[in-house]
Amino acid sequence: MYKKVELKNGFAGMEKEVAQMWKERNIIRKNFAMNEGKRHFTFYDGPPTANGKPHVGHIETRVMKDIIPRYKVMKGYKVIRKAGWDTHGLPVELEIEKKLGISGKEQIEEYGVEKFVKECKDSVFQYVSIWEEMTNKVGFWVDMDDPYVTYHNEYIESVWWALKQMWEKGLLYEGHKVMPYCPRCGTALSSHEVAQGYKDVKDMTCVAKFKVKNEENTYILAWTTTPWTLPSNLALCINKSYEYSKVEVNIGTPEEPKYEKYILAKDLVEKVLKDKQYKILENFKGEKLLGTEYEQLMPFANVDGKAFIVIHGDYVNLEDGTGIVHIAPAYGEDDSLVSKQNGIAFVNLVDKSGKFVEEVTPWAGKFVRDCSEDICRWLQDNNKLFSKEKHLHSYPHCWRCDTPLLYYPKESWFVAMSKLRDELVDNNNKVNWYPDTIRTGRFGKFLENVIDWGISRDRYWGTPLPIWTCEDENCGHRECIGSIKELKEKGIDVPEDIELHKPYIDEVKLKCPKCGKQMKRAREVIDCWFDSGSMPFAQWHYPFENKEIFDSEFPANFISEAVDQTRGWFYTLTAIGTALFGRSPFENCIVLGHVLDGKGQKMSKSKGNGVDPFLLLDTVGADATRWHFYTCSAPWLPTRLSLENVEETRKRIFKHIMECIFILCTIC
Amino acid sequence: MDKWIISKLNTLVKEVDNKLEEYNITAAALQIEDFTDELSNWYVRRNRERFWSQEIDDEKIGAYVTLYEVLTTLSKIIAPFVPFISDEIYQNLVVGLDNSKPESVHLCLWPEVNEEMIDTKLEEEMDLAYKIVKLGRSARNSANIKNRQPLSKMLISISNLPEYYADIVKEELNVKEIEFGADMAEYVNFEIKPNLPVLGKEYGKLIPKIKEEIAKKNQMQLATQVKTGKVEYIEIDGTEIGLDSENLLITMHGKEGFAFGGEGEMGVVLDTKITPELKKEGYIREILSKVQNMRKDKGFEVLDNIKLYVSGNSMLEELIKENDELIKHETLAKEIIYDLSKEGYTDTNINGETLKIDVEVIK
Repeated sequence: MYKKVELKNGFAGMEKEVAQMWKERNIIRKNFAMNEGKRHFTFYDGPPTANGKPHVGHIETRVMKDIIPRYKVMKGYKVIRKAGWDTHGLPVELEIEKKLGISGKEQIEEYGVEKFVKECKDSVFQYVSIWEEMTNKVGFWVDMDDPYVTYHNEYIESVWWALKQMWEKGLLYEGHKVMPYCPRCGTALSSHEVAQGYKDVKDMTCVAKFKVKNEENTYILAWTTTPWTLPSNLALCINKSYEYSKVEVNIGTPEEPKYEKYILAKDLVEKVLKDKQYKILENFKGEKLLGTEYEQLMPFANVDGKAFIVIHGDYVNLEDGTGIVHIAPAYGEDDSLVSKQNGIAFVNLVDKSGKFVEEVTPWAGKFVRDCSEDICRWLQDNNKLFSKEKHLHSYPHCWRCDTPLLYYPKESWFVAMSKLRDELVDNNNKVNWYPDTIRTGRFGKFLENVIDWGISRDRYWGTPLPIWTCEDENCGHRECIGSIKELKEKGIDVPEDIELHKPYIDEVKLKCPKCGKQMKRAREVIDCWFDSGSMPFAQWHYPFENKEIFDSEFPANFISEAVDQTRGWFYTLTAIGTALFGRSPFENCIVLGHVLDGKGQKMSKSKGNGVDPFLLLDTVGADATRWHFYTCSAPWLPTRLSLENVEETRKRIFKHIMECIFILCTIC
Repeated sequence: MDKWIISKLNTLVKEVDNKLEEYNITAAALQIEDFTDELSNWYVRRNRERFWSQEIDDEKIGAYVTLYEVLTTLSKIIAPFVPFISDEIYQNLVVGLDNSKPESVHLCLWPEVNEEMIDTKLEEEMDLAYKIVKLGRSARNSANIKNRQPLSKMLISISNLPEYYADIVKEELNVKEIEFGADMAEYVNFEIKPNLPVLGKEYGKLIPKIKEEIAKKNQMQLATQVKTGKVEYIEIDGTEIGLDSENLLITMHGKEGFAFGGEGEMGVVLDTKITPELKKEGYIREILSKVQNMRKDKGFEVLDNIKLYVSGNSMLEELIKENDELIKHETLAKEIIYDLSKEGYTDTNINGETLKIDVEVIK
């Protein structure tokens, strides 16, 4: 009566046959076409990058993304499932640099930007067939025949539109701000990128002695974790509300005493002077120290303006160090701010590749972070070192190439997200997060402290920043271009088929409407996270096309990605949605935990404990893998996965069903 | 039974729908998992006689129609979770039979819930019976007594169960009698110890005193309380310590002559004393089982009649003679032959006794 449900070729074999049947009978298309004209349920597919091979974590996101749209189709909703590919950005450029055996921007320029960008474009779909195979095998039904691709001209045009919206709302500005900067990649990083790369490292730290002017043998003590910033020191910062002490210390021996006087916070005297013989000479309010002048610590910078003076900053605390902070205005956000407030001069002794400039004679051309020991030795030899020690602290590294970041003053373009802080928090509070703790915790906290989004990247392969500046310095007029049409109207001899990429777009000049001279495009491209965060409208080439589809497909009812996206896609979606549409572009979000090995260890290449996704799908099968992810633990908790424990899951769930089917098929 | 599984099925359709609506994927999947266990280990098992019966009567057809409905509906519920096997099942059970239906499970809509078929009371009672049986099985396991060995009595902590379900429990667990409302403390020894890796870390030095405090408590009460997720507070030298299922290790086992199985607040105890009568019954059950296996191994059809040969153990032969009717009926043996000289016997272990058995099909 019934065809027996036999699994002659095992589960994976059965799955292959079923997939073949779907293909032959066009079942996937028929499923996509279901419920035409019915109410919409909207799902956004966060775009993966196809320039690397998929790993088991990608299976997890795919199976979680898949189940809800399938269920909603069965419930009678129209569900559009458009796949997407994230194609721009530094990771792609790094791959190409590696492939070509070159490194850094100078060598890229030498190789040729056009050729380099072509290589990037060709490489982004290098692994796309492997991704498609994985997607098919896992049974994730998403429309991969008509995906959105972030490097397509239409997509870029929509992103330009978004940037122009922000420009018109006054949210886009150029700032000179101290930024986390990767000296290897030669580009500034945004705060959410920095947040992805904190690592514990041991660095040489020291307490330096700053000689007070006109007072014999008296020094102010200040601690730093970055000795390479000491040659650029221009001020010392105290908190005027604290008590400070002047202390006499014997730095000689008990038999042959030698005395020096030090100034530091009263509460830290014991901690800093621990084993030394000392006597407190006087205690006083920090206020009294303000304006005290001291001698330049290291004689390399030629300083023009106010410097070498004690100033006040609210942020100075008594947790570490001496209660006195050394200020190098070029290399820290707080430093920069407090210097500006006090009218302190500016000096930068580090070049863009993170090396000391010529003036710093002993170490010119050396990478600054490698000079810490030398600097401490120099201080020692010049009687300017109080103490030094290795110190374990969390330091940001480039999330792509692992180079320790430097803080560096750079011209950069920003989206003024801090102006939208309250709106971001409000909009996020309307989102249903699974688990809810993300809303108020990890993500909510991040939004409450949101800072302006540095979106420009001094790189090549990305959406070009559509801002042109008049070449006449006296004019300096700026235009933000929001469409290809506008570009052709305002540009001079714009090719009909202009590709919105470097280097082609850099050749386009505008005619300045103010002074009639030529306008030149800003050289930067933008953060690729801005691309993916624009997908709600850019996937439809909105507002240039598909207005109706966009209206019915915004916001998304459902998205799901891994937990690291709170600093990535979840953030950029929220940021752009808030800036442009005054709301979050998604209503429900399942946040996924990481995949661990069978013993609960993190999977890593070096340990070799990763599970090959294809081996898993070809042996134990997709259904068992899916069921494992659904049942092993709540989606946001880590999932333990090995071939063996997926096999156990398979037995646990399918044994019963297969037994019942066997009875039905055998007897009837 | 049919009403029960159909009620459970409709509840499942409703609950999985509600849970997916709330994006609670894990709870939805686990509920499906529970259902497949109940379907196979309870519904199908309890109805095996209906499924395998010789005549095609209403009982048999009813069982089939029910199982068919359950499996086809289940294929739709599991479709979003496991798209491959669900369509394989659907193709074979539905498309092959009725080509007016959608050609893939993925072109079907979510099954409708038939509220009228949901009988909450029925579900609760049957679920309870199944739970008792599972506990009873685990009690048997702990005492290492096969299910085929009949036992005289089971004691259950709950106060009552309608007779219909009590009968099912007796049959499933092969016990003669059930006593409700039993005080577990009479039959069970409790051993409650601090879980040292957990408690020791926090209260290292206090451990001996904690042990004393635990020993002073009513063990049964403490065990029940902790096992149902509550916290018991004790105070030692001014430190308040909450005892819970994380930091205590609780083992419960039957006192001499009893086997225990428990979960949460419910416990069952089996009287493990085997009287000579029970022992004889155990032999017969074992013999029946061995003969059935032999039929299967030799590849006889379910409905074939056989000749049964036995020899080599006068005590068991005597017992077989006493139960001639029963054995013939259960094994479809037309005759039982006691012949030592026959060749081709298999030596079979019958609860420690050796019996030579052979079967031949009658054409």
